[in-house]
Amino acid sequence: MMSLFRWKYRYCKARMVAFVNGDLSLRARRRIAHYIDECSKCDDLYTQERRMAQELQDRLHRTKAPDVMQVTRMWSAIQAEMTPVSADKSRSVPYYYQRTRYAVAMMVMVLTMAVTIILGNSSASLAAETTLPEPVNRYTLATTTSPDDNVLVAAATAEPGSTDAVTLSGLNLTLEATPRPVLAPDEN
Amino acid sequence: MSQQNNLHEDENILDMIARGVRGDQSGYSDLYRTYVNGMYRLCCNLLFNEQDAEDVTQEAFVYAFKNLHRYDSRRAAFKTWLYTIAVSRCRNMYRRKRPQLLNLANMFHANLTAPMAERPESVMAERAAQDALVKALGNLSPQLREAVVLRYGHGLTYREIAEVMECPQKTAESRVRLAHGRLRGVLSIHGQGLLQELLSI
Repeated sequence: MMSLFRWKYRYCKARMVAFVNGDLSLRARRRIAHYIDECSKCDDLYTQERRMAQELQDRLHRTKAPDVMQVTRMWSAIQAEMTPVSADKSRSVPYYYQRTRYAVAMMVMVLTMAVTIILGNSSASLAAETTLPEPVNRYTLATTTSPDDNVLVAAATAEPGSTDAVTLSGLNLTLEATPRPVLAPDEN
Repeated sequence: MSQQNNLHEDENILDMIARGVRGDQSGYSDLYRTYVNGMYRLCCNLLFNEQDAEDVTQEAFVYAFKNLHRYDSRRAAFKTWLYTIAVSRCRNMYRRKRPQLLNLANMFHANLTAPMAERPESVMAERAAQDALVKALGNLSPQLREAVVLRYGHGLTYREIAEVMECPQKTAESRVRLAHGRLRGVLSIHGQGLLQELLSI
């Protein structure tokens, strides 16, 4: 019997606020009303909750409404914020658009700087390539006269440090000298 | 009969909105006049500060008027839509600073009508009860406070509260119930009981 009352009290407790505010179904309302009639704890709970709801309603409804001055002041401020919508096109842009605009401007600036830096680096490297000193190849020319007077044998040997050392080293140039014309005895 | 009245009222509101969307200033001013008291009181109850309430009310109206074309009457009542904006702005405000409880007490007292004004005890009792409510509301979490204020201060249904607070209806119900539980202890000490006792002297 005790547990039944306890169960009923719990049932009431869970739904009492809704009961007081008239938010329950007809069936649940009848059930709780029946429990309130037969259980003193449920009745106390109902009294407390009803008083509480009334008190809250009364006191919250007493909150001061704005006076005429406040209403007028707020309306003037609202109008001041609303008027630029039609009068001044530049002010009609919402704040988040302005923020977006600033963000885009910043991004463009950063991108421009980044591109400038990258291009600057690449042109610098290009310039560096163009200003590289021309490769210097030095050769030591050794000439030897063959036993035959008509033939001059020259050998060009690349000096150390020359860029084309591999290709040119050991190159032997053979020059054919034009035979000196033999003068006739009568011409002397 | 009351349904017909509501329908007529809804038509009036929709007409004001339509005028506002067309850019007619009279539409805006009519909407403002209709809802300014409720909006201001809601902000006062949530923020506990007159100046903040004024700022937030103004800000909420400006936002609502600028976005009037977005309002869909099939989804929610205009009042609910406005309250959603106001509650959202209030949340921003009390995230920025803690509410000042003393100002609310003054705000309540300014409009206080004591039942027996010639007896100072009754005035004192009324003030004590009012202060207790202010403190109790201030100690509630913002969500519970919003639920209580919307339910008892503005008579919204649980469905409307759920729309304004952007939560399921059951959550709105349980928030009101929880707030009841928290407030019960405080108000039973300073509330009706004390008032009755002092009035009977």
